[in-house]
Amino acid sequence: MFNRRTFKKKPNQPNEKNEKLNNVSEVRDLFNTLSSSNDFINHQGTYNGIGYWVSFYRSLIDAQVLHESVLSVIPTLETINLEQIKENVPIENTLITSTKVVIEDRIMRGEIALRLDGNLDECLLINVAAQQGRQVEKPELEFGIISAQEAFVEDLDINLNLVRKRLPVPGLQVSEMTVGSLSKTKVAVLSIEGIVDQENVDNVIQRINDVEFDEILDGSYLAQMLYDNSNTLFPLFLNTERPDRIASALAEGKVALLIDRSSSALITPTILLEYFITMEDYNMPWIPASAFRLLRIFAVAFSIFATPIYVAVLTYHYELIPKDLLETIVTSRNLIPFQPLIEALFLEISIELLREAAARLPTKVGQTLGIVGGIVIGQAAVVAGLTSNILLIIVALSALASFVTPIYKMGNAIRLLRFPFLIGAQIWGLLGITIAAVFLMTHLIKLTSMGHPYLEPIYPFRMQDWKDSFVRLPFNLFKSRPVNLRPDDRARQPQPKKARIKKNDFNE
Amino acid sequence: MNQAGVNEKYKVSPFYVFFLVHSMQTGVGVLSFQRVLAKTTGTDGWISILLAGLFVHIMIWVIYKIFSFVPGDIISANNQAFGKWIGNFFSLLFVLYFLILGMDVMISYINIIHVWMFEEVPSWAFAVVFMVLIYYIHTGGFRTITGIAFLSVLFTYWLLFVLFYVMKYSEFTNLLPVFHHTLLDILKGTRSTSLTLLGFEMIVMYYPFIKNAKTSQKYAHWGALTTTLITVFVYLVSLVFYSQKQLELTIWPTLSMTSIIELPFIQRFEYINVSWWAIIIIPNMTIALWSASRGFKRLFNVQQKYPLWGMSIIILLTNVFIFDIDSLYILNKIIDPYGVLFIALYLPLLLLIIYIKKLRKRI
Repeated sequence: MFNRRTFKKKPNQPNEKNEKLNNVSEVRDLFNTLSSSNDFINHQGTYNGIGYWVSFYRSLIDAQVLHESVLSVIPTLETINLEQIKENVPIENTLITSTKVVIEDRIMRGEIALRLDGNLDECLLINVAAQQGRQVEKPELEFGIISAQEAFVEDLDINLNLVRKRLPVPGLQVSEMTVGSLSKTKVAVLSIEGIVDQENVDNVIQRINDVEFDEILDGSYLAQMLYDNSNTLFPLFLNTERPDRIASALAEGKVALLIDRSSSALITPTILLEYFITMEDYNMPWIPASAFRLLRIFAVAFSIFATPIYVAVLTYHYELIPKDLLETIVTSRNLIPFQPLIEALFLEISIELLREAAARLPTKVGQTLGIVGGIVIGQAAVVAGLTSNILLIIVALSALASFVTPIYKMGNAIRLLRFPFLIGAQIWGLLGITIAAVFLMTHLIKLTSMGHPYLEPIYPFRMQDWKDSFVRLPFNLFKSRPVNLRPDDRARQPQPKKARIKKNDFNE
Repeated sequence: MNQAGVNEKYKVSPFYVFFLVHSMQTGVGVLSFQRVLAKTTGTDGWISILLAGLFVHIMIWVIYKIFSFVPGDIISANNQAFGKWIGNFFSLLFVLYFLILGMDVMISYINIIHVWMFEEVPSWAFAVVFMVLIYYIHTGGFRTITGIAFLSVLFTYWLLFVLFYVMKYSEFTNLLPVFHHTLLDILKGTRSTSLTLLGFEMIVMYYPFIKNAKTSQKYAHWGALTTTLITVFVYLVSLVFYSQKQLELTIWPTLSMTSIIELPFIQRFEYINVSWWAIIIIPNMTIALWSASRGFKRLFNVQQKYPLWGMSIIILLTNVFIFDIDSLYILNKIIDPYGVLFIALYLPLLLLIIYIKKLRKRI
């Protein structure tokens, strides 16, 4: 209804004069509104008898650039008009316009508007935006011992530069758009043309365009709005601060999203096993890399199932434990007045508390807290007879195991998953755990990331994609990109090279 | 009447038919078939199982032959063969059969839980949880059901290796004498294993959900063959582990066998076995009830969730009002002679009628 009205208004072209008049008042109006803010500067100057106005937000521009490249240029000219200044100012992408929307948008992004007294509606817009922000630093969340030590920062252009340096090909396409009616966040969708399935890119762009929200402050913010299914614990978009991770994802045929003012980039579509991969896996020989990856996946299983199994076995099936071992457990538990579940919940929740507190505290205090919380409280709880030693070990180990996942959000999901399993264990013992596991299995089968199955390559079963899932096989087996992504160009290597060395059973 | 046509994106690869057939066939039957078989055929029981397996293969061939003439599912085949009214009547029989099979599996398993783990938990409590789980799986469509069947086979295969541990205590002379029984005894034995090998007939419902369904026949045969061989293996292990008399007295020989396993940190393995068996049982119930509700949907043109709700209520009421051993006895009786006979006689008849109709049209 509203659309129709605006549509009817537009073709009202015969009244050009009228519109021009409107325009005039609009631009002046704009500057009047902007001036009401105290950090908006209207600098007036005269040169050769012609008055000029320089208007900008003090807080958005780089004053030094303004002085050196703009204001100092003016006295060198014979007469001033906007065209001449435009040609002499050594800054690219300047524009002369009198359209209100453009002027407003550009001033808000840190450009200055230069106007002459003769025509106060025509502006020369020059980009002198301040490039403030931190330097490229080491990754903190996804630290790697033998991988590149660069992490994304909050500036979109620096981030793009970090990615482009790793993929210097013209195929790397960036499409930028803005989301958020208030934050006007710039989002760049990256993909390599010729490799990526164009449908994925279109889907991502489509979903970003459909987002209607005022404030998009971070990548994770946006990711949640793009999810296929928001009622899930699992992250469906992988957010990373490592440019090499983005580059490798792009090379596989995925789509990456860089968000301005956010140091975490997003990768989509993803699969579950991807969240247990670190970039270091590719920097090591395949055998240790695979071993560590398997260790990580084992850690996840341990982290989810250890405490529930303790609860199940001690509540219902203590016959399962051989009698020598049972003796140890019984002695450690004989003073404890609670059921195993209460005992386990007590410890689990205190560990969660520690984690949450440590995340909020400054580093130095955090260390003290770790010692106080981990050692003192744990020991005291055992001595006081609130929990058993064995459970303390199990809970501490499973907490440790949950931090093994390289992606923090996946670690969160795993820590929370433990609680439904605990409840299942309390109700029906091992059977309860099994039923909870089938629920989890079903949930994982149903999940999709950007329409691609999340549990791939396990289900749908795709043999080719197993090379880089539970294990990482040697690179000479990396012949094709993941089938899951349906890339346009499947081959990673031009042709499987034939062995140059003569085949021989043994080296003589 | 709506068509059996299924959107391409809901279909699964032909290769999963192996898992669908295999996981549907293995269920509670494997835990307890030995006793009856030992009574009738004793050491020759494995011949009966192989015969039953052969019969399953023939039936799978019949099913695929039917669908090569009439692509679609059993309901469209019935309609083609008998017209709308009689066809729908037979389809309704199939729906009932699927429902009873699903119920039977669930109640058998609840019975096992009662005997081995939790005797005081009422059976309806288990039924409620299973129904919620089944409903949750159903909401994902046939793709999810296939996934559950696939993962269940993947996650439970290690249980087979447990049997090797048991073989430490085996007495191989128990296998003798061979060919000691009459053909009639062996055929009787074949009938008593039917409950173990039943489940392949669900193909008649999910056939339209398979991509290039015709190519999936070999996977169906492989699935049935795997089940047959596993059953033979389990039977042989039970023969060498138990004496003949013992085997005739043990209700769940497979479970009792595993309870002797002892590792440094685990004893009484049957607790793990019974709980883990849930992963095998859940696809059984899910596929059977899915087939039933899908059949109902196709017959009466309603949304699939309504028949599923109805079936949940029926199953719950059965569990609340009839003690599970009694209901299990009744259900087993329905399935064992009547259900099996129905499948064994009806499907070849259907093939014959469709074949004749096809011939006449050609002439």
